[in-house]
Amino acid sequence: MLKKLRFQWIFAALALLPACKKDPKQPADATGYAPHYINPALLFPSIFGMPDLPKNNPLTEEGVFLGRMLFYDPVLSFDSSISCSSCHDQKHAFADPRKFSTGVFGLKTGRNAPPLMNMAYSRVFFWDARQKTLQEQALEPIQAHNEMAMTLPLLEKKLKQIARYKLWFKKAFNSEPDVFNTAKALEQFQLTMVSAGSRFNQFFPKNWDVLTPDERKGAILFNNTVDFVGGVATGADCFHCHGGQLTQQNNPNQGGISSNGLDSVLTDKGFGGISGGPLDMGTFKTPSLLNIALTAPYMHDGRFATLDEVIDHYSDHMLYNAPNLHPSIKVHAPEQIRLSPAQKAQLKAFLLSMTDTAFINDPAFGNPFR
Amino acid sequence: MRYVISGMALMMLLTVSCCKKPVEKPTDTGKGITILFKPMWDGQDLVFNSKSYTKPDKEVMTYTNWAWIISKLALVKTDNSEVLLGDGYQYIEFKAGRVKFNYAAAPAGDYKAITFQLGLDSAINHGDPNIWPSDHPLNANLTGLHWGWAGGYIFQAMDGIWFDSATSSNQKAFSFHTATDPFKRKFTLPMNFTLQADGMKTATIEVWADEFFKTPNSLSLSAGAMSHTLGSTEIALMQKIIDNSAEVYKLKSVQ
Ligand code: HEC
Ligand code: HEC
Repeated sequence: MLKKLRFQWIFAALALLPACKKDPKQPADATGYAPHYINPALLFPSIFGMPDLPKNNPLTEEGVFLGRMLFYDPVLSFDSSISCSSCHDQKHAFADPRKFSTGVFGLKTGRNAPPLMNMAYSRVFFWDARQKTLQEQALEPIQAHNEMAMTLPLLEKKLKQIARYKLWFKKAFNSEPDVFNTAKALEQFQLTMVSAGSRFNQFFPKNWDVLTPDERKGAILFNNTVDFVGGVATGADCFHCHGGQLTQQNNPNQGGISSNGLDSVLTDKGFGGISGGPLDMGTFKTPSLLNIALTAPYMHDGRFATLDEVIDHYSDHMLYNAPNLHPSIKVHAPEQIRLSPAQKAQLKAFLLSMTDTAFINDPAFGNPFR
Repeated sequence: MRYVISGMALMMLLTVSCCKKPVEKPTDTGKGITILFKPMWDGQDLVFNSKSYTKPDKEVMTYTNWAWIISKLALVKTDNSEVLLGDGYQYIEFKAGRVKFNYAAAPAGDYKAITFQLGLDSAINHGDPNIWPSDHPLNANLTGLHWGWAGGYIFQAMDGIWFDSATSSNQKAFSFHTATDPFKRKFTLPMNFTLQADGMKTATIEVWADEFFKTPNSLSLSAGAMSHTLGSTEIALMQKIIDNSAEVYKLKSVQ
């Protein structure tokens, strides 16, 4: 733990060095509250641009470290058996390789646990987009009966009994351990989970050399709208919803919440179950494809075990009668894209270039108790 | 550990300046001018998702999205000089209610029009989209209207569903996107008005969706319901939509 801590201070020193604006520095008071503010301009890479960060929760070294401890601590669950990391595994870009996750008492979740990365850019959370901030989001799994099954008063009570939390809540928030700052600390830690190190992320804006010839062909299929020359597809149009460096549309109205035509008869209403709107039924948060090789199984219910199955879906089995299929796909009805086996392999190769091994091995996101 | 540090160093190298000028926040200040954009269909308020609208050819449309990017938003003085509002860029997202923008610094004086350009000049259109602060109208994460590595912004996106007629149950989709340099257009909406030094006026600009399908090109969705810039038929359709837009923007009042 000490070793991990030392990293925090180096990080802090680095973060403070070249800041244009002076970060607000607080004098150390008698209680040891003197947070080290993190300069967001140093945290978020220019290829992603600046996210809209929560105004009520400035990032500090102490807050991030506290959040990281909480993320990995099973004490957050009713029987101290499950931590966030039980279902969000760094080796899988914080997704769960199981179709459905297992919470306390062996209960199963109703959806697949998605990866956690670049969350600072997300405007909605969960597959059904039911939360708008990570702060609100954090308290859900803690209380969900099939995840951590905790009550908030009990959580507060447990945390208050642990010396390291008394210390770090003080350092981070100048408070006793409490529920709201638990949510804030978890938000801070997750905001720092930036994954920008894949080869895919280096090929922008025109650095084609980092991609193999096949990956390049895949990139073109990915980024071209659907069209055919002599009956052969020249584009598979993935970019409308998985565009840009983040491979994720984050504006809910521009495809950030959409249907990709999985079901003609809905078993999960997705965002429609939250909004009640008929035109929202069967729409889901559009996921990022970064680290996609590591995050199987795929889709909200983990229905596809492999990327080949995913590509087959988009290429050959699009359900044009799926309720509220997104216009950018539906306009092609009834034509299937029908990629050739070679094209499918190219598209897949391109998707595999999105793996960021540095992210999944970065000790800054690892278990601080190890 | 060494890895992490070098990672940080790398990030620092990649990082753009954190000293960008903050943008003027569109809040009601009681000063200057507020521009209000109202989505309409043939004189009625356009409501997203829950209402449908019938074209003269009986096609029935429901909008699920309508967003657009403008530049050079300015007031035109009586001597024809232009006073830029903020930095002139704005992002209008009707469905999200991002429609009202206050410019407290707009100077007092006599004006004869409001003007803006749908879309962006080439240098900005193809510039780095990540230099803009998170709340700037050109921030790619805010608008979701940047094309990523293909470069450039989508200037306007209108999406939704439609039926051949009121009795048809065969739901189809429309997706009209306009983009690329040749499709930017400047609009000037005349009206004489005066801004006083104390107090604020609101300019209401109605934006009539139905006009995109009317004159000079009468457009049926059955003949084409998608423009995404690739392919000559889609580009031709985009051209027609833009050519039809003279009647779309109506400056109703400044008061
Ligand atoms: C029992 C397994 C489990 C545990 C424990 C768990 N999660 Fe999750 N997590 C999931 C599942 C399943 C989903 C998707 C649920 C949905 O969308 O309805 C999810 C979704 C999320 C999301 C939304 C991601 C997105 O892209 O929208 C975030 C953020 C998240 N979890 C963070 C956490 C944090 C923080 C904790 C600990 C406090 C935690 N999770 C604990 C299973 C779990
Ligand atoms: C209209 C928007 C849209 C388009 C276009 C689109 N997708 Fe998706 N994609 C989604 C949505 C929404 C989901 C999640 C759907 C669900 O789980 O119900 C998804 C899920 C995925 C997943 C699984 C991600 C995960 O973490 O489980 C992959 C892989 C994927 N898409 C690849 C592609 C590829 C490749 C293309 C182009 C051939 C493409 N998508 C085109 C919206 C889109």
